[in-house]
Amino acid sequence: MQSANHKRKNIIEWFWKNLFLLMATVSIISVVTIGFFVISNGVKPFFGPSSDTTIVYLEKFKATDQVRLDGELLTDFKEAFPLTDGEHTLVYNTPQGEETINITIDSQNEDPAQTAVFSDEPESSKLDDSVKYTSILDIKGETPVGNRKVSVVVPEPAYSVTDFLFGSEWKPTALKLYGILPMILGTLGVTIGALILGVPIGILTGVYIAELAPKRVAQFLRPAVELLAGIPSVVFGFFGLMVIVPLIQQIFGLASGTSMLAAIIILGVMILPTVISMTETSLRAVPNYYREGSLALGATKIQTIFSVTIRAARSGILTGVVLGFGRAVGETMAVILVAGNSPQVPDSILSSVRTLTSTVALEMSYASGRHSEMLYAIGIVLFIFIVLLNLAIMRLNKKAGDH
Amino acid sequence: MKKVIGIATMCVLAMSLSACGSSNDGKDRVMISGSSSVNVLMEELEPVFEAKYENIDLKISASGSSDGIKAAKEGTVNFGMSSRSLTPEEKSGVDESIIAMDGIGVIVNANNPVTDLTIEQIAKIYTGEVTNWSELGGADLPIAVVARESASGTRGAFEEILGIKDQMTTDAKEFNGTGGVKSEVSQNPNAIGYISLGSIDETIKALKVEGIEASEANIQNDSYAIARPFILIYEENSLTQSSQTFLEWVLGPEGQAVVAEEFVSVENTAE
Repeated sequence: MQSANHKRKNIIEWFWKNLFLLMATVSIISVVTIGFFVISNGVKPFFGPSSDTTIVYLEKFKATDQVRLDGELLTDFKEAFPLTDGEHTLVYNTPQGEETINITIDSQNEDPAQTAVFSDEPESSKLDDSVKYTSILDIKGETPVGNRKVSVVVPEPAYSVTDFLFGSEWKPTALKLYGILPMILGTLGVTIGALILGVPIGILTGVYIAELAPKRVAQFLRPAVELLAGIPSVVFGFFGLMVIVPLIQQIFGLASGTSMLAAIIILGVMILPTVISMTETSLRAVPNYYREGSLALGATKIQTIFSVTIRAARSGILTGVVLGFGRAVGETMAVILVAGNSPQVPDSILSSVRTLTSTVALEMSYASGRHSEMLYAIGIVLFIFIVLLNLAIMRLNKKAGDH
Repeated sequence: MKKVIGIATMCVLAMSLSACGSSNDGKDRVMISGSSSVNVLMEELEPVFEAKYENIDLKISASGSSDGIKAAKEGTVNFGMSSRSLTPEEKSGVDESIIAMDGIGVIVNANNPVTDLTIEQIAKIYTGEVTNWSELGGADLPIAVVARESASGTRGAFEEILGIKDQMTTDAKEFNGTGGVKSEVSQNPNAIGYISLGSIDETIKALKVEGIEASEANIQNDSYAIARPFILIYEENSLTQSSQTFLEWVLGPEGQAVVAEEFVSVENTAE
């Protein structure tokens, strides 16, 4: 009987041990997978051209046009054709006779306008090179279904990391400029502003709930703070857009109230629950004899709070602040609604700014090619932000623990 | 024993979950994904189509134009939806059909006295050359330029028609979606923005462009200048029977009648 019982115990023991191991493995695998996915996509633009070869794509041409590219007869116009650097000729038949278009490809040329050059093109055609690295020759007339188009797309060369991190222009669709300095500054500005606004309020509220508030008030305040934490961020954003933004616009007489200040106010409120509850919990963990000792020595209640209780709870409070920082860096939905999202280097607290996370959230669903890889690269930058933040937590905790 | 029971329970759960995923009542599925703007139209087409063809089940998801194009190319969906024109790279290897036209209305706050702008004036506002409403016959107030995020289909079409690709003033406020633009314009007397014609209502005022009102009729007769196509992307050679039926229905008179309720129908130019 006893041995059966023993056996059962062993099985249960084994089961739980392996369950823990399994769950830990699942956690690690998810972190590694996400990290690998983001990093493998995000480093691509910096290590090579956006595609292997230059391509030419023909639209509204038909088999009866007898199109020949470098002498070779083309039949299937659904696919794009690869082109090497050098001279190419495109010949096709029209009712008026044969047309010849010469295309010179020089994909290594520093000037994007010179990478693909058309010559001998028909008179009725128009060259559209408003999109960099893409030249579209629009040939008017002749077909009933629309203009014939010859598009040449040259691969974009590798982008420099310095231009990415310190470039101040984000014009990803046509000009192919991917500078994220405005977003880095925007993120830092909004986050630090939110901390300056939210942390004092949060810490003082936490102290009030833990140390000073009458029991009834504390019983009301605590669930209220928890409720604040449970409100979806988009609701904060919507409130900001409908209330804070018009208010800022009226007070400062701006063209629009969507600004860094609006984002700071909303984020400042959003980090309150984290800071308040961390402060309160860590103050509660301070043993009562610390307070009693201080009071016995003749210190007042406020003196005790500042020189004994808060000091003893410092590590927990700092962790709350850093967690609030993390929340402010990562917050997206609310910020998108109130910050204005202009990719410009902010020159005052009232200018419209864009954060790193907003950029990804705004553009991911429509971006293609290198633009979307650049959004992954922004993901890496955010990754680095968070790693630095964690290092900061570790350092702070160590320092606070030393005393 | 407990463990065995646990594992058995897990198996049953997993099986019931996967069963949920694959139950299709013997209906033939047509998968569609892509642009959220086109999705609005798709959701209006869906009930009408499914009422007629009971054995076909449309599965629609809005994931953005780029994603829809990619999915259609890779063959994970039958149709991709796009509200912007495709880049040459994206075009290669797929077929496209325009299923509707969508006008882009230039909107201002309901209290703004300005009623009519030229294409040139709009372009100047968006490139930051004109910054005060008084230059356009309005009150002496700064202009708050409101736009969609870069790479949005609406913005792409808007900038292309105005000839200001990627030249927008960096001071412009960007919102991701019609809703954001609309609520900012509706509460800000200084704002100017642009949204899909189907989303215009009384909370904002649509401007005339070059003296022509933004209306479905004016887009159909090509007099209103700012319009863009809604596109379905597919691979013609690998279309299933049901997908073929759907495409023909959408382009045919019945589908176009639904399109015409809120968007602008297209003439069937299929060869």
